[in-house]
Amino acid sequence: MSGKVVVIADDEPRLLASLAFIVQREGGQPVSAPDGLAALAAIREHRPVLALLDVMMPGMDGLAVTRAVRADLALAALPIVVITALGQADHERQALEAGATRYLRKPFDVAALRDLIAGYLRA
Amino acid sequence: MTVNALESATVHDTAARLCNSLRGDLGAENVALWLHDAHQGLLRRVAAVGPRASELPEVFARQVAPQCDEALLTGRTVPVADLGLLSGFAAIPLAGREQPLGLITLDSQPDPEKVQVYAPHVATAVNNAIMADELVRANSQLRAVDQQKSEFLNVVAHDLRTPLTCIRTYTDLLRMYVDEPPETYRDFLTIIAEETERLGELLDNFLDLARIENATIRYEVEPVDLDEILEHFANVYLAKAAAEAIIVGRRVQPQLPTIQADRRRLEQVFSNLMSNAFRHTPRGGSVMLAAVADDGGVRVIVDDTGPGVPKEDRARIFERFRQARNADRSGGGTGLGLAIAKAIVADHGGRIWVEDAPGGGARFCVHLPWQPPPGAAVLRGDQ
Ligand SMILES: Nc1ncnc2c1ncn2[C@@H]1O[C@H](COP(=O)(O)OP(=O)(O)OP(=O)(O)O)[C@@H](O)[C@H]1O
Ligand SMILES: [Mg+2]
Repeated sequence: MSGKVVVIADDEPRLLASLAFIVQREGGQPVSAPDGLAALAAIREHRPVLALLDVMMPGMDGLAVTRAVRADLALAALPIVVITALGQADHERQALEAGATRYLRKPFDVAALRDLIAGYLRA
Repeated sequence: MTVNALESATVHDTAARLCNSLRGDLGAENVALWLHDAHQGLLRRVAAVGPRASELPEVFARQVAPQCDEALLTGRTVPVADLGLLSGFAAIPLAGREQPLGLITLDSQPDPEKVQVYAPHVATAVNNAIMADELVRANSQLRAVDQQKSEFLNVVAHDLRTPLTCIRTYTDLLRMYVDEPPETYRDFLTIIAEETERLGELLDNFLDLARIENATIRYEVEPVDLDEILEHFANVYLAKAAAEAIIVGRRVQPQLPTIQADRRRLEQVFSNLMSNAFRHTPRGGSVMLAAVADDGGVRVIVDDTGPGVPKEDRARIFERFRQARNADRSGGGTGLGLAIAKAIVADHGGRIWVEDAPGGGARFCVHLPWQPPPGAAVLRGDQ
């Protein structure tokens, strides 16, 4: 029953749990990280099919994780969705420049997020 | 006003330029311009030109130079006789907007007609420089206030967004996944309820802080029995204490008199101190409450056995949104509680601070006067 892994990172425990719930319901296996450093470690260890990263996290933020992943040849193809907060338009540009596949604005449309996750899990 | 003007480059530059041109026009070797500090009865040098300029004092008291005093009071030019270095100088008073602005001193007897022509222009030029400087100052103060306001709004927006995102996400999940077992529904609804409550608390805190800061908060002063309040909080936390094996103790000086205060607001202060103490105290620790008469009022103490507050954080934790460097935000705090507590206590004419508890944890102390001193903000609108 070990499905495809999706690494999710958010420093808000309840938002993290909601992401994990969706991944699970869509048949994936969530690996949760409370901060950027843990996210990077999880990505290296679990070789996920997708990473969902919040931008604002203590220590290493979502953008830094994205850059680190893109700099690693073995991981460079990993799809990364960066979650930005409304009103921080700057983060969206920075996310794409850092190498994010796409960005999602918080508060996000949960149905759209579900479809997106489901898409990567089926691919 | 003159004190600010003394730090102003605009005023200094203007004064120096004026002294230079007066030196030629009035045929003096040394010219200096002094501003009158009415508060302290001093004359302060803002510019001096000439070979002996550096020998002049920075400041002198009006009384030690009766001639200068006379010039200021009468508005007439007088020769300065015996004031050490100023000796032999003539003093030309400069009229200000409300009070005498200051003096020009020079080491030759100037032509009275020229003085009549020049003095008002010099005074106007210096006044203008001072006013320009005040405008710049006022402007930058306004800008700082603006900046603080927009920073405040940014933090407010960010803090409100987290519970909102939670509520919205879990509501959507409930609607999307209709085949979940009842436990999932119950869990999600609990999260939604808690985050809604948190949103309400946040809003209350923001409003409280705003009301305190713009002085529109309404206080109601009445006799308050601190023993009763502390007993109340000890009881409120009984269940939580039992669950976390935390001992709650209470030591109130017998027959402690009541104090004049706003009961509800004081409860808000102690409620925050209690929730902080509980948030930081590990399982099996203790929270001790005490109240003793002390120094014209009463001192209330909340001790815990948590990690304490490092010395370098002791001032900043009372600022809004500021939390200790080692703080984890998992407890759901907003960093407003102590800022509100400090403002409420200050409005009562009291003081709040943190020190080390004897057992190593944090000790929060609140000192409140028996009654608010005249002019205290709690009394505002109470008459
Ligand atoms: N008893 C305590 N022991 C250790 N640190 C404390 C204690 N009380 C407060 N602090 C520190 O001071 C910070 C500010 O406290 P404050 O009550 O203002 O905010 P908060 O408790 O984080 O949030 P809020 O009270 O708004 O819910 C806390 O985040 C914590 O870092
Ligand atoms: Mg608090």
